[in-house]
Amino acid sequence: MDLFRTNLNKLVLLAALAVSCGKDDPVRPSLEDGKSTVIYDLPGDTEASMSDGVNGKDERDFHTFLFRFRDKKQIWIRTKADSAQWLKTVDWDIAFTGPYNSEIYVNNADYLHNPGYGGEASGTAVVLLHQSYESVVEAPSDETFDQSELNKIGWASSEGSSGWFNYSLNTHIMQALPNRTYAIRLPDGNYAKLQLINAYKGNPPAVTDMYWPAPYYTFRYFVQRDGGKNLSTIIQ
Amino acid sequence: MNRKYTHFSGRPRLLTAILIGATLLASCSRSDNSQPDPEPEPGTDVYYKLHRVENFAVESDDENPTQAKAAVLFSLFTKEEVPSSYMKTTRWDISFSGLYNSFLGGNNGSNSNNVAYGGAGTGGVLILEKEFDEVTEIPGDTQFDAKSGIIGTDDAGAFGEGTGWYLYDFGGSILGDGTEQKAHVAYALGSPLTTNSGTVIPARTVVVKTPKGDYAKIKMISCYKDAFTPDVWFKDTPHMFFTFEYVIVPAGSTQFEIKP
Repeated sequence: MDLFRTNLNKLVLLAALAVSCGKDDPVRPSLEDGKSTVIYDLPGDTEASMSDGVNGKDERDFHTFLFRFRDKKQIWIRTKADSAQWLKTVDWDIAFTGPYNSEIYVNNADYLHNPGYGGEASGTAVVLLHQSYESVVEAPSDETFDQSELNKIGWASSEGSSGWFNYSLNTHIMQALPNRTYAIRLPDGNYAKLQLINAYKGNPPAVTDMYWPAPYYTFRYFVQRDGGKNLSTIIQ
Repeated sequence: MNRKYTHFSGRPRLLTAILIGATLLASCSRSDNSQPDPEPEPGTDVYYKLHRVENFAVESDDENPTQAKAAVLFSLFTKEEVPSSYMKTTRWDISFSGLYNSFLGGNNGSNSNNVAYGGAGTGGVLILEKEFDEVTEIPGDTQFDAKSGIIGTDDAGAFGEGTGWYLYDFGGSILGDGTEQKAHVAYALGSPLTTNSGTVIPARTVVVKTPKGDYAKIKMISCYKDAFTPDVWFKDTPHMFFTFEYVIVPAGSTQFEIKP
């Protein structure tokens, strides 16, 4: 069952952005809003490959990396020692796991498949909001977080699923889904919002080369440090 | 000949019009029942038995793995595929949709994310991390999910979407031996599996509320042709050929039972 073996490397990929950017609209809106943190081209595990025969890459599982919002620290989990040092702590906020590091977990002690399972991060949760990043101005209620069944921000196999990216079933285009912003209750109790934007180097609106470098993550987030629920990133 | 034909041409047209009118009336009254053809009444002997379906074939194409196939519909009563022209009827119980037609859903006419939207079905599906034989209590109706295509890949593997009926071992390192033939294998979780790191993944059982309110529990056994155990599942084993076992009990039941 070759699910993704063929299509990620072999096919011509186009990454469509949450932001619309047609040919007649060459200037894309900036991701910077003065309040959010924007991460450009954070390299994932670029040494691994989903299929053999890709130059300089090994066909093996991708190494997970962790990310800490407050100081933008990327933490690699390559060895058992790395796991022991980091996974069960509250020293990270999100983990990029799975093929192409495309499946993102919020640090959580309770969900079996979460990298933080059995650790210290209790009470965390993530909620998908079907809204643009800019338009999310408030975190959902704690009841909504408590009731959320979303454990992972990954592949969206259908319109009804909660992932951040999809493949067009007709054109084989990989794309970030529009209007998907993730509200997060963090290990330290603060609320945040997160938008995953691209897995391709340079955040290209369109990828036309099947060897376009990946995964290089572009994403942005905002953490409300006062403990409140205000997530507005619009400067008044 | 020509003259005679012309002479009589008027009346046959009128007759034809009347006939068409009558046919329309008839089909109108039939469609009120939302059943184009009389549906054979399923015998009650379907209930309380262990059924097995082997190698239920769904067309797949490795060259176009993400090509959307139409949802494939299946009746637990007739044990057969139901044509897609019956999509909005209550003649089928589970749909196979999404990637490789591997995502299961029930038949529910009131949910806009269900392929039966607009129909009369009131069904749904859910999945339990429990062995088939141990699932005896029927969960409450509010626990069933009415959407199509919601039970598929498990979070224990790659591209998981919550609790699923199969584990996708992308690299062949979760359950396989790391060889190329054991990569990209989909492991049905009808029975518990132990990963290479020693984690036991409990068996999964799918529970279905049928569009008519009956209940079924399903053990998904394999998606590979004539290969029913993990040791004989390889990347190139012919797929998707679904093999599964199930028990149906009538509406109103609270327990899954097998009766002699």
